[in-house]
Amino acid sequence: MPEVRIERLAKRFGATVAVDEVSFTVEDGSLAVLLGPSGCGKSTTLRLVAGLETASSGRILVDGKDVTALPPPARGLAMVFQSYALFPHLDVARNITFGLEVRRVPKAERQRRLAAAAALLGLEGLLARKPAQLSGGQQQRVALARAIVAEARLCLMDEPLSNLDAKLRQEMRKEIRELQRRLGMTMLYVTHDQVEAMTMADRIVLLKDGRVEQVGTPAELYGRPATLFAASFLGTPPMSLLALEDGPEGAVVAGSSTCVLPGRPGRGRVLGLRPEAVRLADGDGHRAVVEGVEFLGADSHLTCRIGSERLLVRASGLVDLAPGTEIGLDWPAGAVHLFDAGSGRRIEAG
Amino acid sequence: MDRRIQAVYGWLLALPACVLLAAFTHWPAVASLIDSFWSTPRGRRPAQFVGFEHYRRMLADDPIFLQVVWNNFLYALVTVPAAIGLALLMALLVNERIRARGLVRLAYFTPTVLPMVAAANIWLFFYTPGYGLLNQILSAFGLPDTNFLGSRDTALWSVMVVTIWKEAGFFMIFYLAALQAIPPVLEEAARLEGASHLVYLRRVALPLLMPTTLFVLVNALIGAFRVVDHVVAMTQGGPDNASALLLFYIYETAFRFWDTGYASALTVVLLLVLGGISIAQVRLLDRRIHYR
Repeated sequence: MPEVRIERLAKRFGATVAVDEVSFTVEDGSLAVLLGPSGCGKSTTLRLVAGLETASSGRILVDGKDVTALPPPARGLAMVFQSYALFPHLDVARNITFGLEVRRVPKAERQRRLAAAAALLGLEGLLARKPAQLSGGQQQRVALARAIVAEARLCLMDEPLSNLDAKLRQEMRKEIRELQRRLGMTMLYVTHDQVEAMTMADRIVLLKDGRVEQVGTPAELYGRPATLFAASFLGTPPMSLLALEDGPEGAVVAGSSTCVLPGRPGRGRVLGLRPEAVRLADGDGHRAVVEGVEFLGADSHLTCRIGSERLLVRASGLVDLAPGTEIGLDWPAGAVHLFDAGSGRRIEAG
Repeated sequence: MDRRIQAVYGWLLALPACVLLAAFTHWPAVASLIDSFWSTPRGRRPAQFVGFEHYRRMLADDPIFLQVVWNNFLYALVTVPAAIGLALLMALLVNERIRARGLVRLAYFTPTVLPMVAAANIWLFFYTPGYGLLNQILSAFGLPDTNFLGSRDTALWSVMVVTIWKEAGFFMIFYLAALQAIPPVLEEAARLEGASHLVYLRRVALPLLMPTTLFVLVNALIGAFRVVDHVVAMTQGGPDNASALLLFYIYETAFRFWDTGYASALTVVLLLVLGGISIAQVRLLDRRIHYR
């Protein structure tokens, strides 16, 4: 059973560094998501693991075995591509069994595995069709079936849902996750969609500019973002980030006299607050001015201003406040995230 | 009223093309068919209706016609697959990341830019007995001097070589364009599934190139019956009709021997052959081709 370990992996294209000393581990039978904005090196990292690119330095270990120099088929993995990469001239059945035929798996065995995979993904009625006669979701299933039928224990996925519409994406998210659990596959999954990462991952590897920003469970990344980037990338709506200044009694929000951290320095620090952690306080609390209200049904998003900084408040139900209204805001001490404005790193309490 | 004026404009705009097409394509074809049933008018004796006499003569009394048809058949059978195969090989080669790829592509395409007559003249020098390039190479290896174009055994084959050399570069361009239209991710997917480069070519790339192959095949076959510039420039069909092709024979019959009636009948045969080839190819291959 494969565990994947990436050690100081790097890929340089000429002078540009696409992947910069990336290290992380995917535990056996778990689903790890490589998450980041476009150009962060997540797809290149995946292609390095697949063997479609050669590493400039570093090591890739599958089950403790160094596969860095091995050709793709020797690595024992399957991959689902963003564009699905189905062979347009072959029908669904031949697409699924392509790899088995190439590897000279006996016909009876091929048929058995094909039937199993087709049943698993509900493709029984489509086996004789060509890819062009399938919908996007069906093509996606064929690509998944092709990955499953190889019975590789490690499956790589390169933004597999990005070509589907929102509803289908949600269904496929669940389906892929169930499939991965049921078959006990180890899966490395690339996406730029933080919702996908949050809902599917056992572990998230957050990348930025080719470097690992933070590795952890979705709850860890959401609850204790290690950097300003992690704080702003995860969560919809994202965490509010407020610049701080030194005040007479402690740190104040820039452009105001609102003391948010009594007795602590503020200059060069950033305060992070999740919208759902902030409450509307009756009477007291930190003074803020309402700039706008978005009513979403179950809750309302209030854009508020303290000094020169903006923050978002998520209040349940309909909140009827006119822009310009002065209100009081309050949050528990445990909901405060502090970051160093220069390095972007998280500052632990104290 | 307005609509009628517009219609008149439309017809006027189409008129030049229609006139040219009718005068130089459709009418000659129909006229050839009609003329093929009439004898050649000579001096004071006007053309007489002779029915299928010309066609009978072709099959029964004209050994040169049979020889020429056989020559042309052999010529097509060799040059078409050879040119297409070579074109595919060259396209695969220059589609790879090789050094000086642009130069190599240009070199392969150069023969296409030359007029056939010019190409034939270049090869005329290569084939020259005594001091031609090929004979110099032969003599360097101690082999006897060969009169490539002057001997019955080699004349047709020498003409074929020129054709293959000339056509392959042209067909390569089509294959190259088709190869570049195949998403590279397909090869990556195939590689991950354990397919070598050769297996990928055989099972993925070649099937996806089939529409191009059909197009090239139709063009190559039609070309094999339609282009005789090099025969005119190099051998004049000789020696002893060994390198004569059907169209060259029609040209000789019509404009050298001035037997226009018989030439018309030969032309009809050529048209039937070309039409038949096109229909057969599209019918036979169309079903088995994947179009994107």
